[in-house]
Amino acid sequence: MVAVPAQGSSLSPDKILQYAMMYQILLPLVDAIVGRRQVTSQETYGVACPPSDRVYVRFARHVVQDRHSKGMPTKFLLHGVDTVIWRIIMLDPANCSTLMQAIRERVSQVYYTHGLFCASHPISILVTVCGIILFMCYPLLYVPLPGNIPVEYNSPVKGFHPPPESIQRRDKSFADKDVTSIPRWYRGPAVAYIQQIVVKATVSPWEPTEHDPLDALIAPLGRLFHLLDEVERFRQQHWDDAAADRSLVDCCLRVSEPVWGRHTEKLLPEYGCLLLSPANLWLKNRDRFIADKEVLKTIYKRYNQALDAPPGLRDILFGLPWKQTGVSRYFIRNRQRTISYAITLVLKSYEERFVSGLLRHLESLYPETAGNANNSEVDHIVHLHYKNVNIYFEYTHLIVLYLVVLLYIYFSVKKIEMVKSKWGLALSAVVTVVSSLFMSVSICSIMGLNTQLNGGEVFPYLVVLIGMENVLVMTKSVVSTSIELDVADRVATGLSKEGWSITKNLLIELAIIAVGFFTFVPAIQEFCLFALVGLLTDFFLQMVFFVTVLSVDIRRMELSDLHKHKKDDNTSVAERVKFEPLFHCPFKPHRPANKTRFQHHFNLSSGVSMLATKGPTAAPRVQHESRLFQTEAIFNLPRRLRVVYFWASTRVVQRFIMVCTVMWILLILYKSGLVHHLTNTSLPGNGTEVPPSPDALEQIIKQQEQTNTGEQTRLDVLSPLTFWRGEVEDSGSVKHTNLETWRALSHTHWTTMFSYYNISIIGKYISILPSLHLSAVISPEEAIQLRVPGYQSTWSHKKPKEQSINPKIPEIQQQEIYMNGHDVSKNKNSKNDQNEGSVTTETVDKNEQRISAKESKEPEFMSEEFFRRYYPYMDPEQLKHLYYPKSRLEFIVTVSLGFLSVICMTYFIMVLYRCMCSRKYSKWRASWNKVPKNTKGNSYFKQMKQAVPIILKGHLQEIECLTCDGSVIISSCLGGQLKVWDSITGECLHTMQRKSATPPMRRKPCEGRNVEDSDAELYAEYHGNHGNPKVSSRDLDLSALQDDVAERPQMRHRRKHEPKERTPHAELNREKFEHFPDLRSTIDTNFSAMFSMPRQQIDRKGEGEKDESSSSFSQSDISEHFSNISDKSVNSSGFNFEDSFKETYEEHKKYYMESQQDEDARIFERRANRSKSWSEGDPMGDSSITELPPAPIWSLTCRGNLVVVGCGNGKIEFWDPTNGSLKCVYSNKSQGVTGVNLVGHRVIAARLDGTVDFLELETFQTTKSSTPLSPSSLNRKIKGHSRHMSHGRCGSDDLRLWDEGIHCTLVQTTQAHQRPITVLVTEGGRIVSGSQDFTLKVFRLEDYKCLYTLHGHAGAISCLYLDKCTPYAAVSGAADGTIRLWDLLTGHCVHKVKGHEATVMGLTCTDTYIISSGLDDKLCVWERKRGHLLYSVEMETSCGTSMAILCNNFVVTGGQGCLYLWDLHKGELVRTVSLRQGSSAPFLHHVHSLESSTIVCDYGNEVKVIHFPMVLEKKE
Amino acid sequence: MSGKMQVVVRGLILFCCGIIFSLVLNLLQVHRELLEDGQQPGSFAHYDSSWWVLPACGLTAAFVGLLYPVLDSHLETSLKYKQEWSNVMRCVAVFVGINHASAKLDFMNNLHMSLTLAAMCIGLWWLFDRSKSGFGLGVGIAVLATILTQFLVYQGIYKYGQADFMFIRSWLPCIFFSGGVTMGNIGRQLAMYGDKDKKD
Repeated sequence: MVAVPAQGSSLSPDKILQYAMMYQILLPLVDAIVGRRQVTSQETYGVACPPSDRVYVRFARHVVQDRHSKGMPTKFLLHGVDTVIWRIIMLDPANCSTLMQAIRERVSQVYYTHGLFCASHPISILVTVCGIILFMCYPLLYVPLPGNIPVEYNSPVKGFHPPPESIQRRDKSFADKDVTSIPRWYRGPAVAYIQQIVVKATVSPWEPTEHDPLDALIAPLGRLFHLLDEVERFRQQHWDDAAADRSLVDCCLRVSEPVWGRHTEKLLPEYGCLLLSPANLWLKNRDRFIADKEVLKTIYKRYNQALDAPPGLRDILFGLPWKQTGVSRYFIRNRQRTISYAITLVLKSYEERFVSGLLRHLESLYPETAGNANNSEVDHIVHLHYKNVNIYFEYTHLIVLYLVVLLYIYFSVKKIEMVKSKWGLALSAVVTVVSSLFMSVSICSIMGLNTQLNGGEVFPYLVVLIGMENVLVMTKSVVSTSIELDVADRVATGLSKEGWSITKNLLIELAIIAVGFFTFVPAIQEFCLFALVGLLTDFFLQMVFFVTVLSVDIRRMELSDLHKHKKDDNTSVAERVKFEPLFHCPFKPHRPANKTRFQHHFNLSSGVSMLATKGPTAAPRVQHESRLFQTEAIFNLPRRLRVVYFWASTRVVQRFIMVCTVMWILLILYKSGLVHHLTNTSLPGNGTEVPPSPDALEQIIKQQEQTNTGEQTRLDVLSPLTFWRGEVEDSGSVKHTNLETWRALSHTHWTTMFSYYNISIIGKYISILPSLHLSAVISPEEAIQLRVPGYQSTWSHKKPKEQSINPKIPEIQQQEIYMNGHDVSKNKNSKNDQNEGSVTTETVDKNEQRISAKESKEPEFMSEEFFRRYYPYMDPEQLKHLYYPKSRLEFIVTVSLGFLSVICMTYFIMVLYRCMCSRKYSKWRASWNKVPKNTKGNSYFKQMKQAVPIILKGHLQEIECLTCDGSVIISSCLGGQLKVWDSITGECLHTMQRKSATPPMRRKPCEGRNVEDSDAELYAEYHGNHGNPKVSSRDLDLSALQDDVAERPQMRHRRKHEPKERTPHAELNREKFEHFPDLRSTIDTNFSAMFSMPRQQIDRKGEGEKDESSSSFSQSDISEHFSNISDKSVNSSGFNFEDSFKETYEEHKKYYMESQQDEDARIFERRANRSKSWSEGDPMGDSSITELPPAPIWSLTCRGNLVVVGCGNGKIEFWDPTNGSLKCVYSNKSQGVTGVNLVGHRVIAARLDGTVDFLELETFQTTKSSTPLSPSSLNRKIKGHSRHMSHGRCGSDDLRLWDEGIHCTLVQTTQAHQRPITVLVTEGGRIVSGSQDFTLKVFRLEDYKCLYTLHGHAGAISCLYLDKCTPYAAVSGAADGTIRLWDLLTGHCVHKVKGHEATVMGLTCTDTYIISSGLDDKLCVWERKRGHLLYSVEMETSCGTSMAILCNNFVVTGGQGCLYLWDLHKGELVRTVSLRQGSSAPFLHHVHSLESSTIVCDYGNEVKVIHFPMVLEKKE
Repeated sequence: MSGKMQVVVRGLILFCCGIIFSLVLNLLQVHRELLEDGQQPGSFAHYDSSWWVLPACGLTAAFVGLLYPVLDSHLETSLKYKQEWSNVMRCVAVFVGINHASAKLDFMNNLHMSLTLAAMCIGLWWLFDRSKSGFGLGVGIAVLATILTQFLVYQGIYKYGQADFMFIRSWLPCIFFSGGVTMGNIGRQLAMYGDKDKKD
């Protein structure tokens, strides 16, 4: 391969060139490629190479020259050379080692895509990320607060010995392997050993009808005293044994009196063993307990505690987390309960024998324990160390550290610059870091990593390690991108630039952290794990959250910038990275709210423009002015209104309500048990159908009652319903599931407990022995026996509460009253009649009661008892149990399921909507409106008629450009002739004498090439293939034909009357032509004077002396007067033309010789003059050589009294249509003008090379010397460049005293595009240009600043339409067949639609539709708001390249020799208007609508005006 | 004149930094010692015997901090990173972190400890310095300071908590090294201000 010593992208272009030229090896390769490849015309050298390829172009030029000198063909394919060079560079081994480079490219591409995505959907992404953060941080609620958590250390129970008092010095203990795991504090005996005896007791079987709710509490608590006795007995016994044995002291911790003795009312043990149990509430006195009428009150009594938060005295006595005790303040329902409590026995020393003996003893006492608890499962002792915190030593370095970290954050954040809101970004950066930390902690805790590290100590290190460098780097790189780019592009480009380094840094940091794992220090490893997760989450957040925030910020800055920044920057070529996103986002980009806000504003305030739009041509000026005014006014809106608009536009309230509704429905769904049912599929489903009717249920119950008897029956009755009750039964059992209940205790539980006795365990440790678990099942009889004699009063006292809870159903009350009565009396007096159920103290025997409940009276249907018996699952508390989420997992699953289902449903509905009614919908809606109209029976209907077309004949060549302004039509033909017509009468008002006025192109020197030829050729090459409507294929040979073509009009005019004059004009040959003098000066004379003094007239000769007066005569004057006068002159005898012109000829010859000599000097002079101004004030000394065919007209626009003509040779001419005079010529460049717009005094011209020129016109006034005028008209003030239009052609010229001259100055030139500009439209203060480089650019009219570059099309822009009123949207069509609707306020693509297979050729819009036609002969009608295709109609071949809207409902397209009239609503052809006259039928390229009912179109070399009047006709 | 003044000011700042650091680090280390002894922390008796430790640390810090930029200018090596305060702060935080680790973490043995700390130190250097001169100077300082400390302790001039030199030797060089790099970073940053002023 070629040894090009290149190093990737750093290779300088000159170097490549140098090397390539040096080695000359490329040439054969080039040959080979040129020989093989086909030359496509678009790729020929010269124009519009992308800047990056310029090197190769230059190189290729060298090659071309080289080859040219060798006589090889010059037509050369650059592309091939490019490819070759590129290949060489890429294949070079020095470069080819760049697998790395490929990866790098790939990475930055990924970043680009990502940035684009983030920037285009900011709000949705932000919301999602916040949701994710919150969701991830949710588990943090369950992570204990850092600070006072005791440190744990486990050691096995078996062979446990308290650690020695003082460990050997550290250096010695290093030898021991185990020593690392033993914490430093684990030394010496513990302060205390805590032995808990957890008891779970329940009354079973529970009989709702005969038990009192309190039974469930009292009976288990009653057991407590028994248990305590047993423990005490065992202790005594053990003590005795021990004393006998080894004279051991009592192993329990003896305490003196509690510190808070007064408040606790001696509830805590004094001067004895520290043994805590709920029994202490009754001073361990069973009788006291039994006598207590208000057990619950006693339990819930506050002992001088301000807060109810644990650990209160109650918690300490119960020894369990309060939730697990099963005690609740109000027993609303009468059902079975499990009460748990713990006896906390504090031991001074660990005595294994004692503990195991106690366990054995108690287990034997409670046989139920065997099946319900496994006491040997926990086989380790947990040592809890309460850290001794000293502020000086513990926190000094932390304070320093935090200070340093704060400084770090401050200094980092300070570097964020060039953004709109520095603090906002800084905050978001900090949020990114902090939330990533939280997320990492939370993730680690989910994963089950037990945090041994103190969060407060680790956080600063994590912050420093994770760092904010990425954030800074990203901000800097994004901010440094070109301001000209779109926001999304900026973000994407910035990201992609730094993508590789960010990734690299991330990987390196991960590697460093991974190294940390190999230190084998648990703390460091844990830290590394944290850091790993933290880094990843931080990266995620940076990439998603921060980038989005950044894009929002930049967008804000741009918006604010747009309206402040008036400075003209020269648009630099954007240094964007040429990346295509990996995938294109399927969603439409988000449209910011302010856009809609503006829309609303327009709707409200722009009545003027709304009115104006009805008649598009009615008052263009007013319309325009008002539009300009509005754009300024947008920003003065009061904030209040803005809020309202915002509110209205985003529909906040509706959406909120909608979300709430959806959530509500979901909750209902969840509560209905569906989820639970689905999640618990493992439950048996056999025969669990609920009987359909109460009758059936009763039958079942009766059947079962017959078969079974006794207690068992009642349980079995419920069997059909056990399906629902499964969980409840579980919770009611006495099985111990959690064997380390103390872990759920408050962290300060033990410290509080010891602090009652003024014992400090801070800095020391306590050991918690595995708890003993006991279960007790109490028979109902026992429970009832335990009842307090004076219980009645309590219950009746509580009754109102019950009533207030369930006051609605009288049966309930009745039932309760009855129950109370029954409860109160254990005595014998019975009363069967329950219907007399007022408050009664009569007693009922419980057995009788049972009978009465079961047999004598079936419970009343729908009564409380009925429900309780047959529908136990209707019990609200059970329902609560059923449907409340039972675990966190279930809860999370439900919530996430809900989210998922919402998303799925929304998506599904949207898809359905798209599928089902995308096209039909609008039609359907339209039909709503139509039907009532028809049914109203309106007997008149509108009908469109058609008038005979007015034919405007006069052009000799095909019409090239056509434009109309109110009542005049201006047309130009291929020959460069310009004519002004009256649209109503069809008269030709003026014919512009272009060739005489246009300076010869030949005289204009041009660098390198012949402008005439090359430009035309290029233009043809560029446009011929695409079939641009403005340029027919005839352009190609334009230059060749130009001469004779241009002459003809003049011939026709003058041939009859002045045969002599014909000679110079009829010249085909340019050289020959120059030998003849310009005789026009001889014509431009006062003919009336000529007759009286013919000799005088003839004396005035010579081209150079052409004076002001003659030239100030407008061309129209000439032709006008000419016909009259020449008639006379012909008729008059003996006027010898030859004589009169002889001298002129002779003089001309001389002059010609002279002029040839000093031509160069003159060119210089003339150019200088012209650049200043080309008004009649200037001497036209060189008019002898101006008689050249006029330059081809490529673009044409007119407004008021000014016609602007853009020529193929780069000149812009300004004509006055009222008198056909040339006002000014602007010619600074040679590139053809492809588009020209005139707005106010501004002229915007787009050129072939992609530049856009912004010109401004100034007017000045010159006196008309020749016309004497009345003094009254002197007063008429001509203001600026008034664009008033004189419709009548007579009189106005004579009246005019001042003639306006126009001076044209170039304000700014912008290289807007890299390829030729195809379309240029100005509307509503915005200039939009579309180019073949696939982009559109939006400029602001006021300061010509480029606002947006609209990317998106994948083909050359072929047509463009801008709204003339409020939405100010732009619609563009491209060669790839797509149409895009752009929002010009924000630069977003609102819709992208594709309906054409080939280039979109014609495009127009109404308020509701977009109509497009393409080269594929389809006419498509789109719904504008949603971007749906409504109709797609096949047309005849090659019709419809141009179209016009006719009174909002009809669109007219041009075809071959006829016009087609389409109905937009129906999407069908209404009428074909044939314009055919002869055998040949030209294509109609230009169709314009004039007012709303007239169509102007070209027809070969004619212009036709067809009126379509609307007529109201009676219905048949 | 202004140049000298700047040097003095810089020296003063560095001196203060050094004192603060030594105070913090001493507290950390003392905490460890006290824990090992099982005493109640909170007494400053430690400083009674050696009041001169703090100023000595400050002086060393100033010396090192001034030496680094001088060395840089002599060797004419371009620094890998553009110095910024945020970076310096990061460096300081990591330095405190290394101290923290050496004081609070439990290692298997002394070798393990010194290896881990050394890795951390080199990480610190690589992250924040990456200059050969910095590395060399750091190593030099570490060696010198360790020898000096050992000498002092052997001579009985300075009393450490206990005469466990193996243990101290395991972490002392690393601390000195990282301290040198950190002070050098701060010094460079300060010197940059001086340069700026000169340029202006």
